[in-house]
Amino acid sequence: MNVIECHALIKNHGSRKALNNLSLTITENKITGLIGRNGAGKTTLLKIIAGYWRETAGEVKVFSNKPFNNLSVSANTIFIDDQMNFPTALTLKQVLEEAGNFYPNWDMELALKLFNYFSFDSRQVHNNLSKGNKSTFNMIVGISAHCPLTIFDEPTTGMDAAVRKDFYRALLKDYLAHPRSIILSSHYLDEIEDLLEDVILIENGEKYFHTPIEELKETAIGLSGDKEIITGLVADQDVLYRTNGEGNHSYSVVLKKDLSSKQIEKLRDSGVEYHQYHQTICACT
Amino acid sequence: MSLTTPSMASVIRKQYKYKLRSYIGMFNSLMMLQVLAILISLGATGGRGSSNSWISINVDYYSGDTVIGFTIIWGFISAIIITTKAYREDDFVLITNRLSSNVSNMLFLVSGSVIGGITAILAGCFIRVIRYFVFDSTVIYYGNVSNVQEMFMGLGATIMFILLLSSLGYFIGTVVQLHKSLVVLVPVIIIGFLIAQGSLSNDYLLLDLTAIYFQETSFLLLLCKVIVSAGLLFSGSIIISNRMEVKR
Amino acid sequence: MFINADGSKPIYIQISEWIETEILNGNFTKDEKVYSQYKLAELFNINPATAAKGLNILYEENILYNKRGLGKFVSNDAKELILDKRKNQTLKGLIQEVVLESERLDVSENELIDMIKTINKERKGDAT
Repeated sequence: MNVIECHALIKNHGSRKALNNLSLTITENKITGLIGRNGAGKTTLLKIIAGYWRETAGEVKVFSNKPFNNLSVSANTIFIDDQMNFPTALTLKQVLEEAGNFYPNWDMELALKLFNYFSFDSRQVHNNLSKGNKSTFNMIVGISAHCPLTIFDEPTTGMDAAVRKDFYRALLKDYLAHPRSIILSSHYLDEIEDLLEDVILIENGEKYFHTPIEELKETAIGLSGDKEIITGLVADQDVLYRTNGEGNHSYSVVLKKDLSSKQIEKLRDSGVEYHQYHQTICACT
Repeated sequence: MSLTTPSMASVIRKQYKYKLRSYIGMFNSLMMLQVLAILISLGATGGRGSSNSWISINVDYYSGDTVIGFTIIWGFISAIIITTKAYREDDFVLITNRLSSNVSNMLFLVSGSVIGGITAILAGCFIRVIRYFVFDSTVIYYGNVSNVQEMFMGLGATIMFILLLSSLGYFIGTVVQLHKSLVVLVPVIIIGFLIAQGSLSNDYLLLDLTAIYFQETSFLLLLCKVIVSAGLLFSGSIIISNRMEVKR
Repeated sequence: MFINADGSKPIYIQISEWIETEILNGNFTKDEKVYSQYKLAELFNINPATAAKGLNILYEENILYNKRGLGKFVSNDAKELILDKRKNQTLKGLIQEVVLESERLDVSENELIDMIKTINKERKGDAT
């Protein structure tokens, strides 16, 4: 089943195109990583999927419904980011109880376990938490809600490295016990790559690629250098993504498996820079 | 993971309960306002005196009118506050859509009006009792509470006025959320309108408008007028906010 | 060799190698069920799809066999297949590098064999 379907999605913020003709499909029960530079359109896409924002043009379907202002999409989706606010009148414990009242699949046992593990005080108020602790608390809500579509937009903002690790562990463990569709957007791709099944790269509001992460790791390479040499070499390759830099400087990602060692030698001899998958992604994000 | 199909009614019920718990601060401010109003009212709200060299007569009026006035203002401001970004967008953290969010807000405002109305009327009684026992005033005429039925009608009318102003506040608050410039524009228009009404003596639009409600002598008619007006204002708010995005 | 510049093997390869080593060590014996993709995912903190890919490699190499609905089991000649694979691929590759390096250093074949013998002797000496 397709959880998310976007077709020719466009979102304008004033005169700026935040999403530009973006199409993608996400199938059920996968952990998908969403990567891209700041301002690439990651958050815009996620907020449209969550039903917060209205698309300017194109089509978006979540669980086969238009997400904007849709109660059933809202009930089956949870969107976690660092802008989340909970009422100041409620303590953290009360917030968990309230969230439990709302979400039908809520796992209170897990919520309290994580709550204690990260040593929260039940009398604390969300507003008074540090940035990192806010993120950690939001994450607890996000995981415990057991929503069929769980979206984390930069969930680890402000978290310590150790807490980030614990978070990913907790998320994966719960995913194994309760498989569901999860979208993670993050700047720390190297931290989440083990968790992911698929990865989507968006840039300037457009989708550059959407591929299984193992395939990407195995096969993607980045090339940067003289435009003519590269285009000559990759003419018959499956190019995942290509950008034009200044002047003759061109940059593209191709599938390595289609590149013979002879071609690689030739690339190196002609002064084209060659990146592994990791640097490739880093160069993109 | 199987999908859940929520019913609108159950989501509204949950949101309403959630708001009663999380907007508790509004009732704290109501309490403080009413205490303040009671203190002010312990001095007479109106009075008359005359004297000659032998006798001096002072007639003072004590009533809960100040408390009721303060409570109505509270209803108006609270309604505006819950339309602001911080409150409106809190809803979207949990399950909601714009309709359920609006309806639960309205239910909250109705509850607020009822609680505000009851406490305001009780505060009015409290003021008289304090005057009688503590300040040792002699009661010559005991105001409008001549029988229980009238007291309940007074309560009902108070609730209706708070509700009316709440719905007005909610509508204004929602309109202001449409665009940043309206935050300045709407108050300017309202205040400008009031000034114009004050200076142009031949134009009584505002007075006529308020007279519809405040000069109404039949309780049932007042009830109908307020419910219809509040209903219109709330529906207008729903229509306006239905296409609004969550800006956070 | 710059293709492996980042030094790390894909995770699913590491998973399949780990299972092979467990089989060689006798931790999984013939006809025993190996860990499921979910168990592996939890153990190594990886996506179960990645773990499944690791298991699938071994299935394709007949080291594991499938019982529908039950999982993957160690096949009869798993050990031989693994040993064979490692001899033919891993060891051969290592030796190729050794031979190449000794060529560069001008080390003769006999010298190389002597070196291997010495190391073997030292190891046996350590063992006793």
